[in-house]
Amino acid sequence: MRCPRNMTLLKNKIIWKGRGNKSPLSFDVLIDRVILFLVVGSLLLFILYPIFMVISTSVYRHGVFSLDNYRDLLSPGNLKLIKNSLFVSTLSSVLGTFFALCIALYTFLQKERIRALIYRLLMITLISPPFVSALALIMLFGRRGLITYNLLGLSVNPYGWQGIVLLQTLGLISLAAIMLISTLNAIDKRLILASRDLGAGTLQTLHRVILPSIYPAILSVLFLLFTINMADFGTPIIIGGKYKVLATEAYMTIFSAADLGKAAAMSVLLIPPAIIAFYFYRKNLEKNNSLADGVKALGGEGLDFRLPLFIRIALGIITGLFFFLMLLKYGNIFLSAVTINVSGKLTFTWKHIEAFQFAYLPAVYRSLHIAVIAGILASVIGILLSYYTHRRQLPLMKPIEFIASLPYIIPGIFFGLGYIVGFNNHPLLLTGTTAILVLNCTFRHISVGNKAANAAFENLDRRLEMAARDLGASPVRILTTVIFPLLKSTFLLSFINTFTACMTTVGAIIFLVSPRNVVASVLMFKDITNGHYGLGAVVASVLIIVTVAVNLAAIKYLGREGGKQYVA
Amino acid sequence: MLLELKGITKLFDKDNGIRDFYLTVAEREFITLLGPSGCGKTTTLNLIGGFLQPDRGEIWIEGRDITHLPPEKRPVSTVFQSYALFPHLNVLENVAYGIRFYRKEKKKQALSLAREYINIVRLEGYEKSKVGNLSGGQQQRVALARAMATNPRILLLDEPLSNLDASLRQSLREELKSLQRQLGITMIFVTHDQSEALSLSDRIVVMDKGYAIQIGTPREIYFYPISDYVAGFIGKSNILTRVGETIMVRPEDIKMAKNAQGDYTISSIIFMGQHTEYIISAEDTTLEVVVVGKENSKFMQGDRVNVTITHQLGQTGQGDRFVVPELK
Amino acid sequence: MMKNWKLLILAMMLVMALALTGCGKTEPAEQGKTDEKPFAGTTLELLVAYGGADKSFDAFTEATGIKIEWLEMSTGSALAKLQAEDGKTTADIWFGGGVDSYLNARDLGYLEAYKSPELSAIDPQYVDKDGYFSGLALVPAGFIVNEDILKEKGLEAPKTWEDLADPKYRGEISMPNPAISGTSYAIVSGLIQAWGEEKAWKYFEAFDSNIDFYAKGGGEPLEKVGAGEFAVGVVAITGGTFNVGETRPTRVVYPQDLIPWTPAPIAIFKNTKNLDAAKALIDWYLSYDGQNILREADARIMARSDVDAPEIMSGLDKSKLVKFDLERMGKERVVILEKWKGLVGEK
Ligand SMILES: Nc1ncnc2c1ncn2[C@@H]1O[C@H](COP(=O)(O)OP(=O)(O)OP(=O)(O)O)[C@@H](O)[C@H]1O
Ligand SMILES: [Mg+2]
Repeated sequence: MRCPRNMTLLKNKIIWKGRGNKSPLSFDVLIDRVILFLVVGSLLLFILYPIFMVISTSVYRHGVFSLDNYRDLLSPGNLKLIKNSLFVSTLSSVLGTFFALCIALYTFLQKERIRALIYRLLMITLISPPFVSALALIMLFGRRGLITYNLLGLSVNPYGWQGIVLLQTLGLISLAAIMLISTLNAIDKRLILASRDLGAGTLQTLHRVILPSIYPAILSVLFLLFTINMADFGTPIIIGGKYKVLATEAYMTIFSAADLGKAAAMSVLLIPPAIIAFYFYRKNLEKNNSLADGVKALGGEGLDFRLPLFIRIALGIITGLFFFLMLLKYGNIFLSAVTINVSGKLTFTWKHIEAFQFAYLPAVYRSLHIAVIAGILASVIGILLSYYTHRRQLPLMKPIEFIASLPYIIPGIFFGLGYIVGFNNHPLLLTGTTAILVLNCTFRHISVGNKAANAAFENLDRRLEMAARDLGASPVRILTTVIFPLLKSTFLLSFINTFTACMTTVGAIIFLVSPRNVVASVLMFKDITNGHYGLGAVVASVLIIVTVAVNLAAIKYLGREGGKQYVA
Repeated sequence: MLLELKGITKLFDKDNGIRDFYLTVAEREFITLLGPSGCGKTTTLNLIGGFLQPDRGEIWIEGRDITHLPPEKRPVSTVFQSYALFPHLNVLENVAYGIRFYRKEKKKQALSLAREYINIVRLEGYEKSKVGNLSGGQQQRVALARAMATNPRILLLDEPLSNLDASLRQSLREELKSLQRQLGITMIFVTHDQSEALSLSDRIVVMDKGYAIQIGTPREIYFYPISDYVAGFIGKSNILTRVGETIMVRPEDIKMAKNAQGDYTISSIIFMGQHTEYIISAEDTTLEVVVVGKENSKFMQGDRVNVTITHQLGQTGQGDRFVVPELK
Repeated sequence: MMKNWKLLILAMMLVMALALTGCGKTEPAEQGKTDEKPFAGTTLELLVAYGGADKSFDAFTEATGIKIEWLEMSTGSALAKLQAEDGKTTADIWFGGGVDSYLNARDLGYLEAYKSPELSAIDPQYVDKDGYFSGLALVPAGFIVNEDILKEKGLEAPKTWEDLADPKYRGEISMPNPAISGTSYAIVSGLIQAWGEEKAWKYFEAFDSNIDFYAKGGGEPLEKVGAGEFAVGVVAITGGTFNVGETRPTRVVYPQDLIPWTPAPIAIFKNTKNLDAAKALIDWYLSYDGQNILREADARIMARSDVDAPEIMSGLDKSKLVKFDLERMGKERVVILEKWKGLVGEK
């Protein structure tokens, strides 16, 4: 190495700088504590407290403890509901997981370009305002459906469990496929090469290496879908006909009987399956980590892996069919926005769009506002939570993390109910404010960012943080200069998820809206339940377009730099 | 003394960690921690760097107890195993990082100071490069510049050369040494490569299972190892039993002479250029002998030889001979 | 880039702070400039379950200077929300919807009593005797039929309630669940009050066997019949019901035997911070002008006897309206719905 021209530069500066004298509790450390306090405090206040309030609603009647609401919870009528719920959810989740797996495998085996394309399409199909799929189904395949009646001349009755299963299956395939594709991409390609090298055929490799290594992920996807389907009230309400499920009845109990206690008790029934699902997810996460330990995935390029033709064709057909149905669905939504259905004949109209302009823009704007803030907050809190729990390994953070995952797995209405019951009094008077919507949306989705961050941290060298501290950065500085920049893509993923969910959510916030803080998704829900399908379709279209636009902007802004490659 | 480790113990569990570690390091010294994988080298550096808190013992720098200072306040810097460069920052920003946060310079000043360090490690022209696109050797230089840029009193280097190929390693090793001499930086260097340790160090700390077994100059360690473990870890050694006593002899300290009635037979010959290794065996012993220079060509496989021992390890060593510390 | 992140964290903290302090804002009521508009600048929040009512809000604001923020919400949901909030709603006025929910809310103490001077022109049948709510209009119940489907199936449009129990309509009728829809419940209760328990329940049994499933929203049958999913819908008849016929082959049918009805009520929430403005709103909507404007917004038979029935509803024979005891209807709700559920099961 060259002798430095300017040796004094180094010599002179070798001094103590007196920094060692400062007490460890400097300003930055204080900030660190404050952030930790805010994270933990907010999780307790905005998740644990409302959940506690709902449960207490179900056991306190006018201030007196009573288990009345639970007494007839297991009545024959409710048992039937439970049975229906289990049946429908199981079937939809199994089918959904199966088709998602097919699509994921198909995608995994494509060239980089096509893979990226499918992945993006799947991301877009994640944006699905509730109810509109059901409407699309009715309009396309109903008794006067465009396809069943107009094209095929059939009069099919779509109402019943078949309709629910069909819609729930289709509705969650995108989410499941995205999760599975990520897992497939994380498989060490060398395993596959090694298997081939050791003489296994492609089919055997699929059977012996690929599927077993994503088996835990398949299980956790299955359970996630199951939980979501169990808690889904929107699909059965529109397409279920006389087929009733638990979530729908809990919802009806609130709206028709206005019996909060009983509704809360019914929702409590939905929690055990959710917790079981979560348990599997956790187990899977641990297993996955041990699998991926220290193994860096090779790039997928140049991996020559061809399944037998008939399987490839089958996978291709399933993938194609799925996207075709999605096309129908979105096409139908946009079409419904500008047409009117007259006994099965479509006529063009501006009526819906005119009605929309009139009253809905402030609500759309408010939705956007809320979803952006919630998306940012939820992602930041989720990442911080992961940082304090797994990176700093602070004591007692594990239970906090579990608390943070609760809102994601319990029914939305239940969580919304908690807010309305918990925050209607001083000093926590939030009723009717925009803040209550932001908070609800934020804390409902902490889990997404948290889990993504957990995965990202697994792949992030701890020594980066050590290096940063070594170079004089305090814990807070490390957050701002190392952790967040490196977790950009995690942030992006979490933001898009939360943002999309908040733009389209109804269940959790239907109780929280009032005239001054109404949002677009709730208006859409009202229009649809009032039979104004055309107007509902306009709102849905606007929501879809706005959501896609914001997601693209986020990808452009955050995904531009290659933060991704380090977080894999 | 610049640095004193006073009886440091840090145990992760009952087998892993370091125990009762004493070390004093003088200004401008180049100390090497040498030992097999898992013996606690990184742990020792992490304790000095402040990333771990010792269970027992104290760490002093220039007469101050720094045991409880956080890393960002310690006047030491680390070049990490596999460098830990910030992937989202370019070369210049990496080097400037510590100048901004440790030396608390303004951003502009930090960047211009960083350039000087980049020049020192001869990476001019790469300031704006993403660190992920640099070669291993270049990354190593960035890591070095980044660590030096905080003006540490002590530079800790955790196997900085281990990811590099042999020839690059050789040249970087020399550069590192000359840099250390010129700038007078005190360095603690971790390696499990004995030739690196011998060639670079003022003193070597040989570690095993969390213990510092011997501390001494390269010569002391090589010629007067205090135990067969040390002797075995640094250089090769033959174990001989003579009149009921076990002794250790370096291969180059054995002289062979051709003798048709000799006790030993040459069973294999490995020609290495500068020297040649011979494996010779008698009924119950097998020895390794190294012969340097022309003498080489005299011996053939199957020849019978007699041997003379010119130096025997441990005989004149300080302290107890071959006393292996009681473990656990 | 680092700056961005700092900003982000800052923004986050700011938002948190905002969220924590909450925005329990109350609109400062600017005092009106003229005596005619003493509440100009005040904003009232309305929970609305009166289709088309929003078209009258501009006229109201113009007349009084009071601004309106509103949210459409079925009265069942509103009642549930009120209960969850323990009556602490931010809304000031409850506008239209099912009268049974109003009775319930009244009993729970969520409503403010107010007897408007305009009540003198209004039939006391439509008004709570203590003034907890007043009637805006009368909503008769009847049928909507899809002529195309009827023709296709070779059916006549039903003329009476009895007709609906005819097996030939099996699977072709859509009616909202009375537990959800105030109108549906009014039909059930009205038929019971008119026919007596025995006849009514026997009728319901026959009627029920024609139904595939009960709709989960009051507006659902309207849309489903319009789209041709069903031939006959049991609906509340308002201007909106007729409007469907402009674009679709539907027609409104008044039952020839009996017409159950509900008043579309209006009430003030107890929690209101703008009581005087709220009273002004009630006065205006019960006034002759207000009633006329509201009738324009959605064609209904208005509560004031001096306001004519709208043109399209001239076919309604007022003598067929059920003589309704609203109090009884409210009191019997739980019992009737329980019995109803026992009858129809899980439909
Ligand atoms: N955080 C930790 N928790 C538990 N055990 C640890 C931890 N860090 C290190 N160890 C264990 O302590 C022992 C010493 O680790 P250390 O990293 O110091 O080894 P090393 O000498 O640097 O090895 P190498 O040459 O492989 O880098 C190892 O057995 C290691 O597994
Ligand atoms: Mg190490």
